[in-house]
Amino acid sequence: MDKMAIRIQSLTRDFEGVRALDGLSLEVPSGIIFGFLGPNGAGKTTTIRLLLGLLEPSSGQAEVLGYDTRNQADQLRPLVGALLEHNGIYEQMSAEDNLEFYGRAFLLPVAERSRRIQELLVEMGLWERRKDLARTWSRGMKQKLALARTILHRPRLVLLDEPTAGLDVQAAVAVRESLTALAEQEGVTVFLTTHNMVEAEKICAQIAVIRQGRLVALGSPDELRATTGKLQVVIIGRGFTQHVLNVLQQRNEVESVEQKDHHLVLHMRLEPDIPTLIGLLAGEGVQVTEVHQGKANLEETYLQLMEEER
Amino acid sequence: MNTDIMTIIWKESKGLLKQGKGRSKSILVLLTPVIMFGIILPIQFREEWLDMGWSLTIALFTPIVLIAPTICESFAGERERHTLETLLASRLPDRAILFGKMLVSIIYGYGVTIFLLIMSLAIVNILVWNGKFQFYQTNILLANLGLGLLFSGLMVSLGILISLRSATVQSAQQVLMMIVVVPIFGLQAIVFLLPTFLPMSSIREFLGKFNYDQILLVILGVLLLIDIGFLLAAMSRFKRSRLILN
Repeated sequence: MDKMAIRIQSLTRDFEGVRALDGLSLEVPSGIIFGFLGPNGAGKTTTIRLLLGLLEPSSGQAEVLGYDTRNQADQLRPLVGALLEHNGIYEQMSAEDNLEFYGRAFLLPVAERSRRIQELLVEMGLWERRKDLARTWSRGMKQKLALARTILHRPRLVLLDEPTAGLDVQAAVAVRESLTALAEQEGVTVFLTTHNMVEAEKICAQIAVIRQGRLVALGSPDELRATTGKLQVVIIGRGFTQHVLNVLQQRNEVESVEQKDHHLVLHMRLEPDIPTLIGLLAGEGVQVTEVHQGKANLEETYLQLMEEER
Repeated sequence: MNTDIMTIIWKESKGLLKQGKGRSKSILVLLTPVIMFGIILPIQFREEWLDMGWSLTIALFTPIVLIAPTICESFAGERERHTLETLLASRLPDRAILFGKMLVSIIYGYGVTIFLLIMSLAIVNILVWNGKFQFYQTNILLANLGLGLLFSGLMVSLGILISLRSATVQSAQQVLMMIVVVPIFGLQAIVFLLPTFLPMSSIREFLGKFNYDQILLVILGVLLLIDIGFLLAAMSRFKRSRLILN
């Protein structure tokens, strides 16, 4: 198997004078969950459409599972599962018929088709209501059904456009677990877009951040935090007066100070000297109960990236 | 390819009577030609229904009434319900999607046309039974079968072309009905207005010069060419990227 499931080189797509994708280049290794992050209108959906060969690039090229998306999309699509912006469920058909249709479309043999449909519906907790019309289902159930449809034919790559958007916590967790199992147990490459940073941080092995069609960062969540996320010190205790805040603010290594109830968050410019800081605070009458040191989380890193690009 | 077309036909047939305005309205649309051309008109015209060509109304109107709502659903409906992109992201080839959707509507419209020809034949025979089974005149039967098929093809290919470009089912139906109904009203207007400009005797004399079998063949030939033209246009218009952008 090719080490890279996706290779994108200088991919550009214009829509009537508007550049949706601007020379995007990246590679997605096989068998991992790859997060594709960016604000609305950054070019995420356009990228997925280009990867599926549903749109032609204005320039540049993309190779998915070894196939050129511009002229080999017909060979590529049987190997890919896609859950796009809308779930694509036929509401006037039952859940079973929705899967039956796509099972036939992907040429699954009859026996395997019914076994696979049962397996997936049971796994997703939808088996009991398989005969009901999909329009009578909740949004979360439809999304799970759409995910089942996406992986029905055992694709080597799944492209997911915000798969957990609008789901309740339980449904989102179930979807995330399914995706993790898919990558870890079956070696499927998962390429997903999401606005949920916690989700991306939890399940993605690698992340790309785009803005206005351009790549602004690429790496594992840890690497992104390390390269762009700033050091933070969180101090929990009592007695944080304005004077204490001012004293801390004047220190060279401290960039800014934020007070949240019984927490102080220090955004650091330089590596902090924790014992000195605690000694300073104790001298000012602060009762320190806990101190945490670490990098900013992915959400803060992402916001910082967006800020820098402005 | 055939398997893929059958897959689309399977899917389309699942929703044929349940789409858009719901099952009851779809059944009402189906019952309208059944009652009109299968019962009322044969009772009214009796033997003339089989001999004089009144039955041609089945081939002319049934495809229009039945196919217009279903064919507009084909792509505009998928687009409206946000299922089109997922369908296009599947491995199904362009031609299979296009032909599958076209075939299911033709089978539906033409199938009901043939059913109505048989039903009205039975009604007339029950009404005028004299111990001998009466059948359509050969040329009228062939005209019905040919016109029914070509009108179904015309409605389907024209409907597909419009549906490919329309954002909603309603707008597709409006455009299609306008294109189909305007020429029919135009023809009616000519039939009604002609006697005010020309005496009936001259019209009869003029019409008497023609061989109607030949006229029918010309009409069928023209319809066939139009059908092929629209089909080719639909095939060239069906591009995944264009459908996504629309």
